[in-house]
Amino acid sequence: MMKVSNNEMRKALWSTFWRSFAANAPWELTRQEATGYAFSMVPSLRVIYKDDKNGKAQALQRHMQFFNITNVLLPLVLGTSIAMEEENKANPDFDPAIINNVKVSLMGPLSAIGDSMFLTTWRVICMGISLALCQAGNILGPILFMASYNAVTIAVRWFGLKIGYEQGTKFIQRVSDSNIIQNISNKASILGMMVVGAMIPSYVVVNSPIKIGTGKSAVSLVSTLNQIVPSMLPLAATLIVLWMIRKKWKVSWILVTVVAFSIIGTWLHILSA
Amino acid sequence: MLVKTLLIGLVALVGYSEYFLTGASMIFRPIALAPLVGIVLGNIPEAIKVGAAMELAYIGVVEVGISTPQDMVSASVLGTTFALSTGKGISAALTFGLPLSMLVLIVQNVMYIFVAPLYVNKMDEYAKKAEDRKLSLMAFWGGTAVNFLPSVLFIMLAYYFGTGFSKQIISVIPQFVQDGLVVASGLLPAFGFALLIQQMLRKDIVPYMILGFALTAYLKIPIIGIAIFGLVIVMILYYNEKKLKQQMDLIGKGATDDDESF
Repeated sequence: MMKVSNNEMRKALWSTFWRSFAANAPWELTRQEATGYAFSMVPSLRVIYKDDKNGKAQALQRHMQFFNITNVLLPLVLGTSIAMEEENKANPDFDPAIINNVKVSLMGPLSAIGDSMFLTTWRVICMGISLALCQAGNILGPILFMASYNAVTIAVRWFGLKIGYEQGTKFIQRVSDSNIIQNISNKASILGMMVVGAMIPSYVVVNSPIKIGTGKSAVSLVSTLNQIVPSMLPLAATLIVLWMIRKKWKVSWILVTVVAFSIIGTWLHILSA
Repeated sequence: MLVKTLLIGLVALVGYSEYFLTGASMIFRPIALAPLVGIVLGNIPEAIKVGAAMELAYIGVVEVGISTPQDMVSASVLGTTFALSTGKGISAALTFGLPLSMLVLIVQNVMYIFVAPLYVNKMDEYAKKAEDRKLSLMAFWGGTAVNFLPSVLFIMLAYYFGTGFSKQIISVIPQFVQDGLVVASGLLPAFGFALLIQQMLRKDIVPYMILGFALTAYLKIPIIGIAIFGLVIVMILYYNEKKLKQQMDLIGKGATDDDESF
């Protein structure tokens, strides 16, 4: 039994959708995205608890509890919460504690997938295809980057909210049973890995003024190495940094090391631009 | 100068809208912000090039979970302004962008720790009283004002007072350090790619990285081409898995049929 009209709810879902874009405005250290979550829930809660001030107060407080997720997947979780809040209002036997339990259980796995799929893989693919235009100073480069990245993420946001609301937790249950998300994420990382591999020779630049031999017969070290394996130095540089990361060096120390190595190398005439 | 400072502040605000308005749209990356700085300073093509170089240097900077390794907005905006005003390109972008963005990060952390709890407490209060309108206003305006306005002001001040000095500052820095920073801008993508590889790394997808590397290193295929090859591989894998699954189902069915016939 649905107490709210479909039309009213559709409007509220739209509002929640738009508000999810602003969800990180009140981000805060102790409860992180919870503030933004409550903020995004407001339009829908307003409709669901139209005549029930106490119910609304409890729902708002419920969604002020700790939460954090990759922003792109936030609408999916919002959708399930809205569906459950409706259930909570309609069915007096419903235990509202489930709402937050579901949120907490989704938080970890969805964030891991969201971070690696959108923030890493998809961003790098979009950047890779628009970078050549940017390096030529062409305004289409940045536009291509923003358009391609956001076309996908906005679609994911909208359908996430829709699916989350219409199917509730059933969808997420089904998806986690059939490993669909895991599978998509595996395929995306294959594509991402290829693009990252391809970007190493194109965009890592290591040059050296060192010459082997003397006089006219001298050949440069870099071109000799490139005859063995093209772009050998960029690959070596990447693998060395990867080794540092695997050895659990602190990221900021690696950054300092790279910059210091570049400056000292230039000073000693081992490296050149 | 005053108008330009205001416009630079506006660009910084657009950058922070990543968090408060445009929902992780990547507008805060140098690739997107540098052209906007270019519009303000009247040198768009050069700004786009500097943006591309910065994007590569910072490619590994990802906000995973709660860790913010670097404030990308100030690094991008100030990096581009000083790259253009000194005419030194990526070298100036790193010289000024790196330390100034670290200061901004400190400003932000101070606000998060000491000021943000104020609006969160207010929100708690409104939630208890079911005052959803006040809660929304506090979340959006309170959050934006506390978390992002100080950084915007910092960027405007750094631009206003820094531009005049930036040429003098950079003339004091020895030439080999400046050259070294250009070398670093070539090496930093290696740092970024290594971070990305570490995040995606599973043994079974290492061959794809080697394949991508070899395709560009030997055949000089542009990245869009690599993405198409990658897509083809993913499609082949997908259809093969589908076929395999169908065959497995068929075998499974056949086996049960046999069981029944016995």
